[in-house]
Parts: sequence; structure tokens; C-alpha cells
Amino acid sequence: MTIIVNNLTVTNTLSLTLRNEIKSGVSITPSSVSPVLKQNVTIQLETDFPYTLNRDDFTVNATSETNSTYIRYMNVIDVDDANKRLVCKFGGAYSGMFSIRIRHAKFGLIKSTLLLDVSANTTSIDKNRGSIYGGTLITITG
Amino acid sequence: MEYNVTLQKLINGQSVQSIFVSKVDTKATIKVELPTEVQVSSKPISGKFRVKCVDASGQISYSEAAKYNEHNIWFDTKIMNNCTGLYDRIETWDAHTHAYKENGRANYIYFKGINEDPGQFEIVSDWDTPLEGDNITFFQETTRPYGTNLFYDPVPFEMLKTYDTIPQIVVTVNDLPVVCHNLTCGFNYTEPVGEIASFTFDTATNKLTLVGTAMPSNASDIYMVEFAQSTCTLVSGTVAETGLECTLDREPTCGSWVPKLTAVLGVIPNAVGVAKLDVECAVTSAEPDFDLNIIGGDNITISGEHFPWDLVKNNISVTFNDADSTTCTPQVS
Repeated sequence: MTIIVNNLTVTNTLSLTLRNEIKSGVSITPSSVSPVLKQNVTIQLETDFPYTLNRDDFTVNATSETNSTYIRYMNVIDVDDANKRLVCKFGGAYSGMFSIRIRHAKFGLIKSTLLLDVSANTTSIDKNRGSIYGGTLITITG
Repeated sequence: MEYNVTLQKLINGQSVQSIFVSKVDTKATIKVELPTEVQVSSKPISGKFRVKCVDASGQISYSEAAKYNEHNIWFDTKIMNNCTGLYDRIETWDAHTHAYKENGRANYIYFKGINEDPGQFEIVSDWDTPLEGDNITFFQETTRPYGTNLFYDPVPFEMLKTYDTIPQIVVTVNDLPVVCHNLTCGFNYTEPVGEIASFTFDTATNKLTLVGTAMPSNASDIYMVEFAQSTCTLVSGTVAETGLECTLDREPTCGSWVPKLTAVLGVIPNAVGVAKLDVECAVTSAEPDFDLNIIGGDNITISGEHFPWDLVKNNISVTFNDADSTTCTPQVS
């Protein structure tokens, strides 16, 4: 390890070893959530995750793909150790794609390529024409 | 015996009303009671007058008619009732030169809340009931107690400029500029007094010793001594013109440093030949040092001595000596 403080090299004999084992988040359900509603999302870990799941051991957050400083933290509200699943509460965010970052207190960072789509979709508008003087009742479904 | 008796006129009447002659024993006494409120005009003054009001544009208006001896407590109402633009903007006072009980009359008209310079007001005889008396004269003048400008607008702060040949100290309070008292906020840069010729630092005791010339001889004249990002407390009895000793208030930060001595007239410079002193860091352990996550994200605590206590003020770089290493970012110190 090389440590330099204020342009002075700090002499040391530190040696650190790595653990080659990597564990990942496999899936997230649902993968698309509303920007304005609080919703539960379930994250599936690899089934051979080496630690017993305890919700206090996990830190989960969602980071905007377009703005890395915009981070929404998700509380882990339940775990299913038998199936290695986490249930998190997503509290809403600006629309966009968010990458999921998972951290375990003992294992450390869990590899994740999971994406959460935060968006609102309109599926239909009824009616789609009306008087120029207003007064038309429109139902937007989404 | 002959007595000359000159009768004086009451200020608001014809004359004395009577002369008493009474007998006392075998002598006769003539007693003349002179009025206290007198006028010199042999012909009793009578009639009314008005005040000729002139505004800043020269427009003339006249007050209501007032009796020649009208008291000023009623006088202001007659002006305000008739003169243009003066309602509730004047007060009238008895002037000392001719107070109410003395010969003649004088009044002050005090303007208030008028943002312009009115013309000269005058006393004129009423046209319906003219003043009558001997040698009636009028005199008027404007009193400006604070100079020739009776009224002026406030000068906007942006227009207050001075031409200075020395730097100015600019003060703001809550982002608002502060006006300088008497517009004198100049600051003189002076040549520093004294010099630090050399210094030593004992890492065992954290004691810093400065040697120099013309340094402050009183501890109260020394504001601060700093070294290796630590303040230094003076050792009692060591402050002299030739040097001082002090003890660092915290562990020094590793790096290359020279002392900084700030006295009553500012920083006392180090001599050109004063070299920087290296303060070394020492590393004792890293925790954890095994089973580190290969994809990163683990927090590693590196322990040792003389590490920086402020991550902002210091330049810190930590790297691993393997081919696939990534940067290690200091989080807290």
C-alpha cells in the first residue's frame, strides 16, 4: 500500500488480501415503480449467499443513472433468509432509471447490475376531444 | 413740584385707564400704574394682518386675517387654513426678539415634512381691516440652523464615493455594505518588524523553539503561533525579542512545515534561509486487512501517528500496489 500525505510518502509494510468470492443481486421485482407512490420492491440475492439475512445488516439505495449525486435510500423492511430475498420500501423519486446498490455489513458490497425504472405511464385518455370552451370530462388511465 | 407723566399704550388697549391721586396724612401722592404690556406707538395699534405664503415654485397665497395681537397658538391655524400645501406642515412659536408682552410681535414659522425650499414668507396688512399705528414696520427672515441647505434628499449609498490613496477596509453585515464612519477606513500596509531566523521542533515533547530578532517581547503582543497545522501555546517566561518557546496544542500533521508567528502588527516573516522541517507520518496497522471484497466498497481503517485531522486542508493519496487496484478515498480522519 502506498500512502502519500502532503507530498510525503509514508513508509509502511501493510499487506492486504482480497476475497475472491463475489455475490450478486439477481433480480428486482417490480422493476418499474411509480415516482409518487411508496411501494415495496423485492431484491433476489444469489441463493448461496454465505450469511444469514438480517435486515439490519443491509444498506440499499437507488442512484440516478443521469445524476450520480441524486441518491434515494431504501429501507429494508423484511428479509426472507430461506430464499435469500430482501423487501425494501421505495419512497418515490424523480422519474428516470436508477441503479440499485446493495451493501451487507459483513460481506461488504454485493455486485448489482439491477436497474429500477421510476416512471409514470399513461395507457389511455378518454375522451380525447372536447369543446374549445372547456368543460369536457377526461379520464386518464395509467 | 411738577411731574411729567408719559402714558404708554397697552398692547391690546387704548392707554392706562386712570391716574390715582389720594391723600395720605398731610401729603398727597400721585400713583401712576404703568402697564406691563406696552407699545411705543402713541397711536394704539389696531387692525388685522395676514401672512403672505410663498411656495417653492413662487405661488402666493394668504393666510386668514389675524388680529394685530393674535397669540401664536391660534396663528398657525389661520396659516394652515388658507395657505396652499401647508396643512399640518407648520408650527408657530413665540419668537424671543418680540415676545408677546413686549413691544411689537414676532413669530417663528417652523416647517416640517416639506421636501422643498419655500419662498420668503411675509407679514402684510389685511386689506379689509388694515393695521393702524405709528411707524409700523415688518421684518422677516429665514433661519437655516444647519447650513445653507434647509432641505435635501438623502444621498444614495451607491453615490457615496471617496478617492483614496490607500486600501480601504470594506465591511459587510449580513451581506449589506456598511458605511464607514467619517468615510475614513484606510489601512496602511507597513514593513514587518522582526524576523524569525531559525527554529527547532522536538517531536517527543511537541515543543517549538523560535529564534529571531526584534520579535515581540510581551506575550500579549503575540496573537498566535502555528506549526504543522496546530496552534502553539507559549511557554511562560520564554518570550523575548530574541525568541520564544511554545508547545503544540495537538499532534503535528505530517508534511513539510515552517512556523507562522502572528503578532499585533501581523505576521512576522521567516528569514529567507529558514528551511522547512519534515514531520513524518507513521503507519501501524490497517483493519480489516484480509477478506477484502474484490469489487471494492470496504472501509479500511489505517492507524498511525501524525495523520491529518482535516481532509479538506490536506492532500492525501492511498493506493494499493497491485495491478488491478483502484483508488482508496479517505472518508474520515
